[in-house]
Amino acid sequence: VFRARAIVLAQAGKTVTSIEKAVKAKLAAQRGGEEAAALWKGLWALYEQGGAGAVEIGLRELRELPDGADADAQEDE
Amino acid sequence: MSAATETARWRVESITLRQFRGVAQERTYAFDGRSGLLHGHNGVGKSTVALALQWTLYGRFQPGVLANVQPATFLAPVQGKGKASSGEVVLARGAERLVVARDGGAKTFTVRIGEASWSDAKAEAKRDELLGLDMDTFVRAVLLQQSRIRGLLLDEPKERNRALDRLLGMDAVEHLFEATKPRPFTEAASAWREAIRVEQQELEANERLLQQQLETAQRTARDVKFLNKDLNPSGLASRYDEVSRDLVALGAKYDVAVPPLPACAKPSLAPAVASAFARGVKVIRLGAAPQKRLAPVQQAIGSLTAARARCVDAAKTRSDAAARLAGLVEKHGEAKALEAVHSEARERIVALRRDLKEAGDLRQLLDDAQAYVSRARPKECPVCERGLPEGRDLAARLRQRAEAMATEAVARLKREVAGQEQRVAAADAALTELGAAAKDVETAAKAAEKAAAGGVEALGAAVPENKVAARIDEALREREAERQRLAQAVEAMEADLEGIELRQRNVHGVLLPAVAKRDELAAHEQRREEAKKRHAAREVKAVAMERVAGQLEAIRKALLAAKQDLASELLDLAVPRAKALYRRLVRQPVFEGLDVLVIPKAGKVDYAFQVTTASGAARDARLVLSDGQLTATAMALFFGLAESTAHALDLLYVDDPTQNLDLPCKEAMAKVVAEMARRRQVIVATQDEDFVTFLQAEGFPRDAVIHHLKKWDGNPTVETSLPGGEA
Repeated sequence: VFRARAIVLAQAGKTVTSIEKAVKAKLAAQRGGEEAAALWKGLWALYEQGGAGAVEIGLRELRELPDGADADAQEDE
Repeated sequence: MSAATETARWRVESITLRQFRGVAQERTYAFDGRSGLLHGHNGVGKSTVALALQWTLYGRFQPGVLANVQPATFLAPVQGKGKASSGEVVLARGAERLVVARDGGAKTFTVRIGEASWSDAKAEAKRDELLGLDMDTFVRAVLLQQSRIRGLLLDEPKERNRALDRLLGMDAVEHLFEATKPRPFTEAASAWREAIRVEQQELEANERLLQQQLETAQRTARDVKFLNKDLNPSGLASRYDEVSRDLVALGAKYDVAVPPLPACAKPSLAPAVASAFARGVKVIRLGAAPQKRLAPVQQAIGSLTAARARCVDAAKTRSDAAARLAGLVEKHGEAKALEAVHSEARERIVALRRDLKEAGDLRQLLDDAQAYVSRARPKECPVCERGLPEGRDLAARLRQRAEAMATEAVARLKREVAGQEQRVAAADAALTELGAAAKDVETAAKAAEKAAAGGVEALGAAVPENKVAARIDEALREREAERQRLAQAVEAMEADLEGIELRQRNVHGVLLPAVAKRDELAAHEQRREEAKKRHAAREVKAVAMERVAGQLEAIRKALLAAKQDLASELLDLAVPRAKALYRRLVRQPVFEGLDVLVIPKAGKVDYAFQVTTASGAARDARLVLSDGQLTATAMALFFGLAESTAHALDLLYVDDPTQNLDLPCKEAMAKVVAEMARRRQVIVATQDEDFVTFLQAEGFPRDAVIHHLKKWDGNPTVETSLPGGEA
C-alpha cells in the first residue's frame, strides 16, 4: 500500500528539486542503489506531501512486525 | 535594467489580500513590476504581506513554522475569526501576465495566463514550471525573514548548524536523514527471526514431550498385554468391537437386550463408545434375571423376619403376663376367695363397731350413775327401788366397773376392728394386683393374636396361631436358600461385568491414550510442516525488512553526500558575493574576511561559519562578532545565496532587515539594498524610519512604489506613493 501510494504521489507531477536529484544521483552511483532509488522516490514524494512526519508514517506502514511485537517499544529503544 | 525592459523573469505586479491576518476586508498592494518599500510602525500589517505572498503562491509554510497552529486559524483576519482567507498575486513578464490565486474557503488554487488557466495539482505544476522554484527555494532565495537567520546568533553550535541548514535549504536533508533511520527495520527483521526461533523451539519441545508421552503410553499398553498391532486406530477399533460383541453376549446370558457399541473408527469417537459401554453395563446390572428375582426374595425375608420377631415378642409378653397372674393367685388366692374374705371382714367390722358403741353407751350410763350416786347418795336403787346395803361405797364400785369396761372390752374391740381393717386393705391390694395382671394377660393375648395374624399374612396361608412361628421359620429357611442361590448368580454376573469393565478400562484408559498420542504426534508433524512454510514466509519478511534497512542506509549515505555536494556548490556560488557584502556591511577591523565551509563528519555534515584575518587566521564568527555584526553577516550570506540561485522570479523580498544593526550598518545595508534594487525587483518591509531615510538617500529606485502603512484598525490605512509623485 505504501509503495503504491508513494509511486502515485511521485507521478503526480511534483517538483523535482535539486535535493531529490542529487540524492538520486548519489544512489545511482552506489552499488545496488537502484532498489534504494525506488524507495527514495516514494519517500521524497511523501516528504513533499507532508514533511518528515509523512515519511515516518510511511516507513512505519512499510515496516511489518510479527504479531505481538511492540512497534512502539522498538521505536522507543 | 528597468521593469519595462525585463522580459526573462517574472516580477510582482500586485499582491491582493482578502480576510487575511491584518486585512479584515481586502487590500491590494500594487508594485507594477517595480521595487517597493513598505514602511510603518509595528503592528500595521507589513509582515502580513510577506505571509500572503508565500501562502498565495504555495499554500503552506516550511516545516517548523506554525507547527502547533491550525493555518486557517492563524491566517484568519484578526477581527474575523473563522473567515476564510484568499489571496491573489499578479506577476508580469514582459507582456505576459501570470495570475496566481488561492481561496482558503473553496480550497482552490488557480494559475492563469491570458485565456489559459489551471487549477489545483496542475496549477501547482504550472506554477513551479513557470517560476522554476519550489517553496523551499522561494523562502531561501526570494523571501528573507529575520526568523531564518536568528539561529545563527544562538550559542549552541548544533542550533547554528541548523540555522545554516535552513539558510542553505538543507533542512529537508536533515529532516529526511532523521526520519529514515534503518534501525527499526533491522529490529523488525530480528523480531521476525526471533518469532521463527521461538516457534521452532516450542515445536521441538512439544515434539520431545509428545514422543516421551507416546513411548510411555505404548509401554503401559504392552504391560496390559496389548500387542503392537493394537497400537493404532484399527487396533483400537478391533478391540472395541470385541468388547461390544462380548457385552451383547453377556446381556443375552442374563436375559437383557444390549445394543452393540458404536464403531470406534478413530480415537475421537472413543468417549461416545465408552458412554455407550457404561449404559450397556448399567442395563445388564439392573435388568439381569437373578438381580430382578433377588429383590422380592430379600423383601419377603425381611417381612417374614419381622413377622416372626413380632410373634415371638407377643407370645413372650403373653406368657410373662400369665405367669405373673398365676404367681399372684398363688400368693393371694383366687379373686373370689379374696372377695369373700373382704366381705366377711367388712361385716365383722360393722359388728365390732356396734359393740364398741354399746360399750360406750354402758360406760356413759355407769359414769352418769356414778355421778348421781356421788352427788345424791341414795339409800335405795333408783331403778328397782330396793334398799342399798350400808357401808358399801356404791360410787367407787361404779367407777371401778366403768374403768374396767374401758380398759379391757373396748381395747379388745378396737384391736379386732384394726385387724379386720388390715384384712380388708390386704384383700383390696391383692384384688387390684390381680385385676391389673388379668388385664395384662388379656392385652398380651390380643397382641399375640394380632402378631399371629401378621405372620399368617406374611406366610400367605392359613396357619393355626400356635404354628405360625414354626411355619415362618420354615418359610424363612426356604427363602434364605433361594436368596443365597440368587446372590451367587448375581455375584457371578458382577464378576462377568467386572471382567468386561476391566477390559473396557484397559482399552479406554490404556490403549486409547497410546493411539491418541500417536495421532497427536502425527498432527504435530503436520503443524511442523505448516510452521516450516510460515517460517519461510517470515524469513522472507525478515529479508525484506533488512533490504529496506539497507536501502535506508544507502539513502542516508546519499543524503549526506548530496548535502555535502549541494551545500558546497551553493556556498561556492554565494560566498564570494557574501564576502564582498560582509566587508561592506560589517567592516570588522581585524576579521575582514568571511568563510562558510562544509565540514563532513561521521554520520553528519556540519558547517564552519567563520571570519578570517588578513593573515588567514580563522575564528568562529559567533565567538568574534556582536549580535548586530552577526546579523549583518547572515544577511550578507543570504543576499549571496539569493543572487546566486537561478530561477524565473526576479524578486527579492526583504522583511525587516535592520534588526540589531547600528546606524552605520543600516546605512551600509541601505546602499546594498538600493544597489540590488537597481538590478532586480526588491521589496523591502521595515519599521525602521532611519533605514527608510537611508534608502531614500541612497536613491532606492526612483521608480519604486512606496506604501506607507500609517495605522491599523482592522485594515491597514495605506498611503501609496507612485513614481513621479503620483499618489
